[in-house]
Amino acid sequence: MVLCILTVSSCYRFDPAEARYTDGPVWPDYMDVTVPVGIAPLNFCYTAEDGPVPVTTFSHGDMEVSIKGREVVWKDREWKKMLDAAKGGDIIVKSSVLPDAWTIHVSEDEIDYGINYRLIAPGYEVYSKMGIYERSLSDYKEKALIENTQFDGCVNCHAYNRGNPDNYSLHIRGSHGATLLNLEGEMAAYNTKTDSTLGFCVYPYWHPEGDYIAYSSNNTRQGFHVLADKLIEVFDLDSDLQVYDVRNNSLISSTSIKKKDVWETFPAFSADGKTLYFCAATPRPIPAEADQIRYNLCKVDFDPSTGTIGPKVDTLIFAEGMGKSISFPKPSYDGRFLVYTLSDYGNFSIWHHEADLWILDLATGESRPMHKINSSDTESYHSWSSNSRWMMFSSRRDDGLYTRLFFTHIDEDGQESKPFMLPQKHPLHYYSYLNRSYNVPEFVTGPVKLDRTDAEKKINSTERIQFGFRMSE
Amino acid sequence: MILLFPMNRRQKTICSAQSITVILLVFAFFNFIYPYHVHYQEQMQLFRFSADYFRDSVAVPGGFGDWLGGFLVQFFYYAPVGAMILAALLGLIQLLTWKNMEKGSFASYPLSFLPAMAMFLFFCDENALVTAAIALAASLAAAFMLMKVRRTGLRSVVTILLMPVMYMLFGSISVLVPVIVAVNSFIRKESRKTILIFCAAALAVAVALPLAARGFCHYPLDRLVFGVHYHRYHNAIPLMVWIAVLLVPAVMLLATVVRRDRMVLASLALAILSVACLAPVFTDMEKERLFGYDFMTRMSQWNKILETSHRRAPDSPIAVECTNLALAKTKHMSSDMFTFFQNGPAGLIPEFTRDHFSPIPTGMVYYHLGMINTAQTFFFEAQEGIPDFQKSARLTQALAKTNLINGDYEVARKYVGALKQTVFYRKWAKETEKLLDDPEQIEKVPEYAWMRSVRMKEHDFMFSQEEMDSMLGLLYVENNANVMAMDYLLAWCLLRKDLPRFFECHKLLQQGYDARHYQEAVVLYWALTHDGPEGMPDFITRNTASGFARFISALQSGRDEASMMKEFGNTYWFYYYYRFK
Repeated sequence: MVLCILTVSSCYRFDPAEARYTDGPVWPDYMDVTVPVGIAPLNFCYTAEDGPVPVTTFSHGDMEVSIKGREVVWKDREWKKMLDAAKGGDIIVKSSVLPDAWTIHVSEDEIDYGINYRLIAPGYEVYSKMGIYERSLSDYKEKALIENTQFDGCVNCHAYNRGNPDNYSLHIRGSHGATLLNLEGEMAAYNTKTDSTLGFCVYPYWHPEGDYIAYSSNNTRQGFHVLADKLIEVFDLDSDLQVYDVRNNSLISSTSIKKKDVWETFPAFSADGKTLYFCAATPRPIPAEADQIRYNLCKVDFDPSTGTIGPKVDTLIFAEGMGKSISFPKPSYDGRFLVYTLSDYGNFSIWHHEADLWILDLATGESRPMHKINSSDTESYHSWSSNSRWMMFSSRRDDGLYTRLFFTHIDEDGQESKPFMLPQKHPLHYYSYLNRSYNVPEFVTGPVKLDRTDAEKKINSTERIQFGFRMSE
Repeated sequence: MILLFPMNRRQKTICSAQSITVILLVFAFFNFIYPYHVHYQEQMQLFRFSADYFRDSVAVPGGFGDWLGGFLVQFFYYAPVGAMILAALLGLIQLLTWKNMEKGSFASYPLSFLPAMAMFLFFCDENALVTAAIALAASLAAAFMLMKVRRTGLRSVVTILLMPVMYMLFGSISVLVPVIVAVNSFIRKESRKTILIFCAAALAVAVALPLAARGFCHYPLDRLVFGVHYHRYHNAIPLMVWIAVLLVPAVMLLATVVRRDRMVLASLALAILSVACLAPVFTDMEKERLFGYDFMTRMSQWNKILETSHRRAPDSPIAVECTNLALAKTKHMSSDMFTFFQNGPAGLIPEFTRDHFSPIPTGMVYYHLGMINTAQTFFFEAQEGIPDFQKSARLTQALAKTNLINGDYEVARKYVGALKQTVFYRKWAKETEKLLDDPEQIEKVPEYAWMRSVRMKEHDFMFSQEEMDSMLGLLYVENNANVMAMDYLLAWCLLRKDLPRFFECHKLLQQGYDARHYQEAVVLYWALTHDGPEGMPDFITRNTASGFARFISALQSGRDEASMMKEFGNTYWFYYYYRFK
């Protein structure tokens, strides 16, 4: 009987009726996308459940690969061979059941080794199994770096310095709350809450030289809508910024970023490390006027040689004037652009269906929506590859709830390409049954060296190194 | 098995009768006394027939046992089947324990029940997982098979080699295999040296296995030592499971001394007394009642809930909550609510608590009220709160419904897709999938059409427990057909003793305004705010007025609470003066 059950339950059979996320002929939509040369095979399936069995032909120059079936699954070696050959050019894709051919453009710009992200059910207060995971971009392998099966609590706010897997900040919430800092292979657990700051340090962003980490402290609450098209609102009741001086184990704040009448959040250093970008809003009564809270994009000078935060805050984008709100400002590492999320109000844009990504040209000051990557549903968290030519972002475009990852190529002029979804071996099946969302995706340039046994020991112990605090001169 | 004291036919019959009796008793217990615990188990998992579910399950030590456990628990959808499975498993454990008692005799036969009985006590805990029983049975079976190998050395080597396999399949209980082999080798008086070497090697492997599992498994060491899948709470050490495990070698050794037929009475007494004394300690009938209320709410057995509450007054918030829901669904809330014990507004709509059970009945209340988003939040949070990180078929079904009602068809389709891979929810999932393919048909399903008609459509606001009366009022304002919302609004005011608000809202009623409790509240409010009966609404009956006069007179005469309860315990007046102070 057991063998019978095993046989029945362990056979994978492609079923196009498993889910239908698109009206397009194929899913994921890999038509006319731009991909990096090292990416894992872009397997996809036809959404039509009946009709003749499609034959899909991929060609570049003399090379040609034909795959028969409603699900197009590449052999790794053939895919890699074709991708290498097509570097800088196009792969032409023809289907026996579709009238028009399409292309897959293979960019010469490389992408980082992989990505890290949190996988968590899109819930509210309670969380089931979750953790931080690492995924290589050249294949489908995913491995857990740390999971909450190891301790009581949840993990979030993980950040690397430009994808450097040796230096990271990882925040643990719950009864074993701590921030794990890994500095050049040495991991330690910190208590980031001080008497002089609002609370624990979250939303980390590394200074390019690695000597500082900008954090915010947020007093966050959530509320639940009763109408069908909205579910939840997450908002801050207060928030401040501070910069952690790694060498001197001290938080640095300043009256310019710790104002009582301003809520500051989402800090991000500029590429040269001399400017700190952040979002700031004027407080309003919560929850009565939650839909009136609007965050502008601001900046303040930062002197990395002395750890001094400038006294004057400049508003870079007055989103309030547009009746909009900005979150997640992320400057490219080459200093040319800054991408942010624009929504109607608030700062927790993942729950805003209208949230879109915009790009700011830091040289000209011009800002525009990224039409090619935005959808009718949420686009929110995003991060840059270390060479600033690729951007990864989260989107709820497929079902409106479960966040998935997409990649776009950004050229020297800041023009985005049509995005492609994080490839999976059997994408329709995988995403249909994945009951967790991708959260806070970050590029990494190599495998992260996280000793999870050591991390578990440090999290479960009560020992914490206390962050110091000083005001900026 | 080498029986030094072989049993005669009569003794064999008596032993068989003992086994059958115990199996029947266990079945009777879970079917008639503890059926809602069985249902509770079923709704704490979502067993899917799929490759990825199987792969994810078996990736941790004991995962295969857990997968088999999940397979069996899905049949707990029907309590009698669940009771049968539990009885069969415990019977199997007893039989295999007996098979491993190489010096077993008629006298020691009752001792073979002890490990199974320890497991029975374990299963009185609603969070005990069937995996533990499967692992124990598998270990006993493996040890029995190994003892068939006559050559001590060969058997020892095979046992050592089998240990990692058994550990991966069934978890740490499988450490019992080398223990049984060693004990039986000892009983057989095999080479002491070989046994010692075997014990040392087995000990080394037993220690090494959890340590090695740390390399690929994200669990703390203590979990890998005491078992990942034996108890729903991952930080609980399942003591009874390990007592059951230890009892196996204990009874094997005891059997070597309990040999004379007349000693059967002593061993029988030991087995019966240990269970008889401990069973009341381990069973929790209060929880059984709570699970019963939840189950009846799930199945919309409103009259059965009221019958249950009539038989035994509900005294916990969840029981009261379900009783009130049943009253509202049968349209008896305004007339019979205070016939039952009430414990304040928390018994009507409790606040959210972070656990995996109590948000479920509360979510059901919100669902029936038409507060679909709030119901969805409660269902989602309850599912996320399941301590062993499982999903729930019942809650996945509930989430599919709320998303379907909300028009979030792709999310609903995701949940329906998972349910299609189950045995008992597959039919529902396929029917619902047809609705998702053709959403216009949704309006033709009375349940969904009704929910869409009563849910909030115009007024958006943030859910707030403190502003429950406003939310219920808006539900009613948006759709006057949502009588339940008005019942709950008035009940909320009454339970909070907010009579001015009650009086204000009561005026909105077009029908049913003269229900018994409403009359009682209006009379009371009038008495508290007016000097005389002049101008009192004319729907107040003579009975109510005279009853109130008697109540006030009794109150002023200083009668004790018990006496007041006897005469007026089913009135709002009694609640107002004696409850929720």
